[in-house]
Amino acid sequence: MRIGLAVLRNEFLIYFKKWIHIIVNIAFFIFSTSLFSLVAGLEQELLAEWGAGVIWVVALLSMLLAMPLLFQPDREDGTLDLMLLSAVDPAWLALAKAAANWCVFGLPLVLLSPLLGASYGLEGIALLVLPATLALGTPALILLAAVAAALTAGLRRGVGLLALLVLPLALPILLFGVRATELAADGFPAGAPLMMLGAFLLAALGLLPWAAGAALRATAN
Amino acid sequence: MNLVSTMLEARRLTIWRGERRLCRDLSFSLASGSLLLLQGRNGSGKTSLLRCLAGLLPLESGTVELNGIAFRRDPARYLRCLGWLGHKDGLKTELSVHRNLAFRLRLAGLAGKAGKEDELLERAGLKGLGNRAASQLSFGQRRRLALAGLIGAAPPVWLLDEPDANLDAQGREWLQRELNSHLDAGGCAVLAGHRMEWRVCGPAPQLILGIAR
Repeated sequence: MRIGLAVLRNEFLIYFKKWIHIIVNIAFFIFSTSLFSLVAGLEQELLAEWGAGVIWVVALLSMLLAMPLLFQPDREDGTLDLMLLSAVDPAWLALAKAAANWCVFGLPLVLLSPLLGASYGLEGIALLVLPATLALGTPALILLAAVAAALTAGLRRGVGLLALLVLPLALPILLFGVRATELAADGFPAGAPLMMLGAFLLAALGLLPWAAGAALRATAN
Repeated sequence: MNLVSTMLEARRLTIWRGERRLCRDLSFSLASGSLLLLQGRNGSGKTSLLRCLAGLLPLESGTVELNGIAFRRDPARYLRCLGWLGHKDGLKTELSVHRNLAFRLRLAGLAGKAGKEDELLERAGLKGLGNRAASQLSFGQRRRLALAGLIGAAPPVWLLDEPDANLDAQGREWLQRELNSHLDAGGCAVLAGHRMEWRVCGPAPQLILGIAR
């Protein structure tokens, strides 16, 4: 546990030293969602209808951009070997690293989403449901991506493979996230898809760190 | 009577790397206070054998035990006996020297104490550099820092891959002293590399790789 906390602290320190990655990630999220609405030139009603989907897809892509930072640098500088050779379970390492990655790259998207949602014409309860879906869905996505990142960390230019592995598996999270916001925007209760997202997150927390840990050990050679 | 306990025992190891068999039915044991040098030309499998001993690379067949514990039986206890220094230093260049050392000690289950870190830095010839970012160190200084982490963690079995890489003459002398202290204290070590002139009490057994194909 203490080692997990030490990993978490190191991750935060390193991410803030590499602040340009954080800025690029946030800028990608803002510009891509804004560009879509500008280029599409849709009617306000259609924009509101598409808003949740666009924001969710861009959030997914911008998080994928940050995924190679999860384990690749540790593989390259040899710290991954040291961590795997400590007595701590690799699952805790994966969980700590995923938690730091989400705080730095996922949380800003959650916080910015109401602003972008409003630019797409979302209003009222939908502007609360959208960040709630992202708050529940993006940690599950990070954990899913952590397994793929662990599997591809030893590969050069493994980002493409990482995306191919993550995108199909991320589809249910994406669909429930978008559906919850759409229901809220249309004035229907969004509890069911939100609960599904919560269930995905709990299942991801229970299973995926162990899968990522096993993948890290299996690909250590 | 001289009681010598076996610390590391490898039995009938067969290691494959892709399509290439690196060794077959390789057996050796290391007693407390002894050193094994792995020699061989480039690509002969020195690093792979070290990684197998550390449990980072799976064995095709055979067993390795540290103090009677096999990796598969109790990985946590096995790894607690082990100290590793690979080709790469295992440092975060974005972090300070102190932070790197504290993290290395934390991984070994030792709480980072400023006093202990300062002492280790002084031993490694890095006194006064604690607050500097590791990226500002020379490659030789980074190697010293990585070795300081290993020495501070004080595991009984050292597995070192070319530990003197990038070290100057003084650094090699320091490493020699630390290695002797470790062996005198009852530890054992496996060193892979090309340097032959390690001075230890008694001859260091050598294992030449690259024959069994």
